[in-house]
Amino acid sequence: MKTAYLVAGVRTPFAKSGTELKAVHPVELGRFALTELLARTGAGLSEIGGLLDEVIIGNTGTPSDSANIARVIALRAGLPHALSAYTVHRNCASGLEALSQAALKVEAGVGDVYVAGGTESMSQLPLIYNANAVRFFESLQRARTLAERAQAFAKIPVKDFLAPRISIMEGLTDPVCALNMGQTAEILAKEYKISREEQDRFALTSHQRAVAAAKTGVFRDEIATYSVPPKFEKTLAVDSGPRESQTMEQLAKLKPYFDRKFGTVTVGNACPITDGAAMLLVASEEGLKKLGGVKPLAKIRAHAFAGLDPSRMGLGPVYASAKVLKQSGLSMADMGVVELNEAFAAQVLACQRAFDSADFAKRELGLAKAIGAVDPAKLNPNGGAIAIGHPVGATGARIALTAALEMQRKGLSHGLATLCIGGGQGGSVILEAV
Amino acid sequence: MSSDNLFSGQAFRLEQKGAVGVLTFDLKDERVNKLSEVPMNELASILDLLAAKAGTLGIKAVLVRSAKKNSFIVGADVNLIGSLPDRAAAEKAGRQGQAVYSKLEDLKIPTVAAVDGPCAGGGTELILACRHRLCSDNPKTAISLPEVKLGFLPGWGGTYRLPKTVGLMTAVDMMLTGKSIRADKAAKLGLVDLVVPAAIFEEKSLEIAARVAEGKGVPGAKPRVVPLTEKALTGNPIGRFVFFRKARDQVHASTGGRYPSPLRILDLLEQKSGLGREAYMDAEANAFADLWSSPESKSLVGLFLMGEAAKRDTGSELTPEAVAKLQATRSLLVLGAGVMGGGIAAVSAAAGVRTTLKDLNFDAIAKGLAHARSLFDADLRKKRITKTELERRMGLVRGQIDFRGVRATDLVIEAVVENIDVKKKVFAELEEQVSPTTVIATNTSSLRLKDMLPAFKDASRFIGLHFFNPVHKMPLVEVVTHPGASPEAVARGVAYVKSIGKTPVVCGDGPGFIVNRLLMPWLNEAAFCLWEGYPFEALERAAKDFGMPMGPFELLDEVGLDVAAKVCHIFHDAFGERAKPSPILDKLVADKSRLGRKTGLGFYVFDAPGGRKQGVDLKALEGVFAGAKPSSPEFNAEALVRRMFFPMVNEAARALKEGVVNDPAKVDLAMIFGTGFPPFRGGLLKWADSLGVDKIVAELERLGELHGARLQPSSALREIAKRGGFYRS
Repeated sequence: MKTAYLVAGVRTPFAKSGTELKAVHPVELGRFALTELLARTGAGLSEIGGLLDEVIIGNTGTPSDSANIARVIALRAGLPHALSAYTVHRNCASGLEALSQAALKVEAGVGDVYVAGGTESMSQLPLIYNANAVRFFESLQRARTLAERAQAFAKIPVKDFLAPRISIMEGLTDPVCALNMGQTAEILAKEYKISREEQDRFALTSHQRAVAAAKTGVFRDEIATYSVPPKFEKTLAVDSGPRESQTMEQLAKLKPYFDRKFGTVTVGNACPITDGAAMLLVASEEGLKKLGGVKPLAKIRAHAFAGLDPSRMGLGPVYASAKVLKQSGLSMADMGVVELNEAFAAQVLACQRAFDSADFAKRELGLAKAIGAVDPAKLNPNGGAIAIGHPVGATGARIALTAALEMQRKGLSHGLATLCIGGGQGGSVILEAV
Repeated sequence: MSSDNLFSGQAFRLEQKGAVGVLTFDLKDERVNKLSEVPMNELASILDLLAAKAGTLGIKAVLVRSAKKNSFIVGADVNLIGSLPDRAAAEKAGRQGQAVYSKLEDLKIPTVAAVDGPCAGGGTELILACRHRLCSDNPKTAISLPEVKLGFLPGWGGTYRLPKTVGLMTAVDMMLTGKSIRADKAAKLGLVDLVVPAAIFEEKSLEIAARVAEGKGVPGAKPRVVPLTEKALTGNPIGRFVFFRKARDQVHASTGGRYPSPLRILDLLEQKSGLGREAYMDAEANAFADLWSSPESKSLVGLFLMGEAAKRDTGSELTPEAVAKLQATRSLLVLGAGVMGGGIAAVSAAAGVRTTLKDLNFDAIAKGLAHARSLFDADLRKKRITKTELERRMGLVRGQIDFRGVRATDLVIEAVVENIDVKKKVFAELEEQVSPTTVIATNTSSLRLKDMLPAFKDASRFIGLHFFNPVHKMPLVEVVTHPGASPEAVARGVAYVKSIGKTPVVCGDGPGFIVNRLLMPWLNEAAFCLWEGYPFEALERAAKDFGMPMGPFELLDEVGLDVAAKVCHIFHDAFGERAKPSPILDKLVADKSRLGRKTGLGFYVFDAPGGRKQGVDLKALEGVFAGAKPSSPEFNAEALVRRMFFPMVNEAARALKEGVVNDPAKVDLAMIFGTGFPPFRGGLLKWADSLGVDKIVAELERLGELHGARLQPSSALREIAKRGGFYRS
């Protein structure tokens, strides 16, 4: 099996849905990140198209006008017709899925250089006519004469037109256990006795770390400054989510969102709905040569996905990380940085409890000992999704990139990037310094 | 299906395929089909043959097609038109062509023209004489009658047949603008009966011709829908009167009545369209010959031929084949994302060149991107491009504030601030970042390349590419060489300019290159006139009446008075006393709020900074010029024109003598494309020759006595007077 390398990566600044990036199509977000990534390789944008083997991009909210969004992005970025491209969907870890598939192809010797990434515009997820409204349109189409048309209009179901299906709400709800993501976080918060205060403190830390990182230029190599089309009046150099002025008092004021009576999960200690894209370059040893002898960010040491009870999806990282640690023969203590996606503070903290529990390890993972909680200093040292945001299709690629860059900055030997996945999965990747 | 060869000549061949006579235009040894004496004679012979023998041969329809790939007939050979000896010859050529096409129209059997690719001028007149017209949906398919652009009119029956085919309104629009009609529009207008997919055009045309031979019509063809407006305007005498009045007004508004051709076309259509064919053709032939003889037409034909020659010129001693092997410009780095940088990025992206804008910060880059986007949005609004094309173009423009990843760039254009030290620093830094084969060009307008050379390790790859403002509108780019520039670098610069659809003029590294150097004497002299007390309006009017698109002070306001003043002083340093600036600019520029359009106030008042001209505040201007004394009590427009424009001619002579430019045609092309010097005068130096350079020398001597030594004729100009003119060698 060949070695796969994470060569380089670039992302757009992330912005909360409904704000700076709300009018930008996910194809455009992806095109920008991809163009910037390729421009930085120095191979010459005109030549790089010929070096790539395939483009794999994660996206969950397929825009109806860009059916295979990866292909549209690749062509819009000016890559050649001959370069194949496809889109992957593993909910919140679609970006990681893309990375994983690129790595698999390199490892299997199928190709040498891949683009793997993710893009999401949650702002642009549509409102959908409900069944009654659709029936009305069908009756209108069948009506041939003026009289029939008038008849159809007489029966127009006004109430149904005002009650569209909100696709983003549906997307964030798992149909199998009939719970939305926040509700699964509440389950974990209660089971693991994670207090409101603990969650708020975690959220605050996320903001503080993200703000500090942005200030000290930590994201300078990671984020490509984006002037927002079509007017180019707004230019974003950093994520717009992290709040410098965030305080515990402000967080405490918020009411629990998913369980009004007994809940602890609020919009403040959960990640916001977000827009953004991230693109990575994955290559084999041979691929690095083709790219002009470029030095990669990290070796992709192990990657895996695992399944669990959908109603407890927040624990996904524990299951998936157990797999990759076993695959690589490494331990949690070896990880110099752990990027654990902050879907909810409660969910991250629940993972910590589970990592730390010998009982959990025995019962759920078939392990003799506990995996070991992540040292809080090493966990999301530059902030996480609570502050930065979670554009669902892109985050998996984003946290792998963030981890790799942190490893490079601090000279760390290993890093772990892991996410919980709506529907009851977890995904993890271990990176190793080169 | 027999394929008998009934006629085989240098241009045409006639074969029989079943009941169809296939008439193919395939001009020997040429890439495109052009019309001249031999093809027209062959066509006449074939038509005679068909008229006599079609019945016995069993030919029931004729298909007219071209054998050239992606090209139908591009029109008559302009070189031949240009070399007709006199009016009589022109009239004869016109009548002969009319006769051949009338013969075609008179064929008893139906004719089907099959157009794939460009069809212009005489080619369009040919298909109009056919009974049916088909065209392919090839994006290159375009039908036009562009004769007005050469100063005459479609003289082979085009003015007779086009209105009958597409209606008077469309005919007037097509003939007065010379515009190209694409396939879809052609079908809508009734110019063609049917559009056929390009991939099956050959077979389908023959199939349709065979159907026509059987007496059936063209399948799927719909009769032209006559719009209500057309019925109203052209169907009755009052409507026609209004229509022609309006058309004439529009011609005057756009051309100032300077070009006789569009007006003559309107006259012909208005007065002669009731006549029978023979009488009409007589009128058309006369009109064609009259227009051909006009000085305006001669100027336009000359200009066209100059442009064609410029297209073939590679700018260096390298042959076109050698140039084709050089590295093409597929990637471009523009340093400086201002208005020029953004415009250069836009035209380059439109031509498919991947462009990166570099500037000091992202606000500057955002402005450049916004500028490019606004240009594309305007194209979208005017339906020149589709949304998809807009997205494709925007995808080709990006920005960065460092030099990451630029090593493999083919061409770099520097468009930073006009400061020699800043530029040198930029070049030194840049050279470290790019590859040895990257061509580096400066867009400087007022600085000298020779002063930038020390910044380079390898100056052989350094040239100038001087764009004009606004980049997307101005067709000219001065390609500036210096003694150490390699022919490859110059050739690559020229090739890049051509690839973005602009006209390159190669020149040497003199102050102001060609255009600005020649503009300054005019602008400066106008300023001196103003200083001396000549009325402001009179000076502006004189220039505009001469044919310039803007008066001198309007142009100065556009350029920016501070920029103009700076350039004036640079020229003063470079050229000495004769380029001494008039006191006016410095006086105006002392008031920082008075820098021209960009501050909303210059010579003119604007409704906002960068806004529209509103008027001139004469009182305020007089206040600035306190101390000026009128030195010439009497004036007339002609004298003013001589005084303002003769110094341009004088300066051109010096530039040619110094070798900054090596060909008077280049000067004329540059001044027409770079400043809008009136094309109907043929060019600055063509105009000078038409007046007589010796007369210009005499006038400059006189003016020099009256107004200042700066106006004295140069020795270079005297030499040219001696040899008889700029275009005499």
